Amino acid sequence: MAAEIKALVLAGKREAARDRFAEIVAVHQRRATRIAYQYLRDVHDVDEAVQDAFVKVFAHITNYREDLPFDVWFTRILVNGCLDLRKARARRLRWVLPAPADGAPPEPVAPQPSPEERLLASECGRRIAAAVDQLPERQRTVFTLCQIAEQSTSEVSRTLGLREATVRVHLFRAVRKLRTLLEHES
Amino acid sequence: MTMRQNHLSDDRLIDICLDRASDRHDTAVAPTESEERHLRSCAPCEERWTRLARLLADVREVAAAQADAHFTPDRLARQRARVLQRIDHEARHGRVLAFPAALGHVPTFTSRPRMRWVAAAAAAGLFIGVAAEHVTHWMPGRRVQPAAVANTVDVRPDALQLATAPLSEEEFLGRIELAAEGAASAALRPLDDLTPRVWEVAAR
Repeated sequence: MAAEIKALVLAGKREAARDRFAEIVAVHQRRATRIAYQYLRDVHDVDEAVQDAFVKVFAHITNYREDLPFDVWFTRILVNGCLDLRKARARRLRWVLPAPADGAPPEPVAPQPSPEERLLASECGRRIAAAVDQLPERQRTVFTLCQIAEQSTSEVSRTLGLREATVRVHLFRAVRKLRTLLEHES
Repeated sequence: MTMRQNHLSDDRLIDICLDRASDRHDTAVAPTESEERHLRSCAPCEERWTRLARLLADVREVAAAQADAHFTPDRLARQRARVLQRIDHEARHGRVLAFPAALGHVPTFTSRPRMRWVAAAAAAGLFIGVAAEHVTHWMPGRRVQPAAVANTVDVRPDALQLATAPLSEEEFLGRIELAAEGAASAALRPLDDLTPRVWEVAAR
């Protein structure tokens, strides 16, 4: 579909390309928010990162190489965006005092907790989230892409520009560390 | 092999678990026939394997649930709309204003002879005016005598002191009388004759 959109843009049919792109957004959006959430843990930052990634992809669709799966290309853009946002946030926190918590508008909460919310609220969910947060940056990235974004190790290696063997090593270390953290706590 | 007391090591178990989870099996880490056989027949190893597989599944599930709890279908629809809105916005190119040079030939000062004559006449008029002012200023009848100017001003220190000291009304008027009777104020004499004297006013 990405190749088709590229062809439409090159043919000057921008409106048609935009309509087709809306379909791509719908397909990849959920997965993109899950990946971004692992990096940013902030709803507004996640929203921003995902939007930026899609807008960037459309703006540079003419550079898209058909030999690369769209997933890989898009995920690379998304991950780079998330890492940039994290860096920016760290800089902001270093120099600017955080706003008082009571000034921020609360997130709208569904009246009945969904199954996901129930799982998240459980002790097990909290422990798992905390353990994933403790992983070193590279291990966390590889683990997120392999286990949460469900990419193969070869796709992850192309996304991150690492050798496949290196990806496997990071993944292995991430799982071993998670296992240690979670089994020691339980 | 990485077996210890016939059981699979933890690291080997992780390797095999990840390999099974992956859609592309790597021959370097894929379980050998004997390992497969061991996994099927050894209850402790099978339990460890199950625990590890469950842990990975839990992590996946929690990670997905965390994001999905915040990003409801409504919110995703809003996000999608915002993406398309931004794409539309970026498609609208900024309006480029034409640089003034591109508007055509603007007549310059040197290209219009009539304007040159006007400017030359204005400059000549200015020059003649300044020269005439100089000539009339330095003519003998119009020259201001520096000595006469000096005579009209009393710059003695005691005079300054007196001027700044507080005076009564009588004293003040008396001094005006004395100044008016001085030789240097002959030109003011006719005006002085018209005004009444202090003592005349006081006597009435």
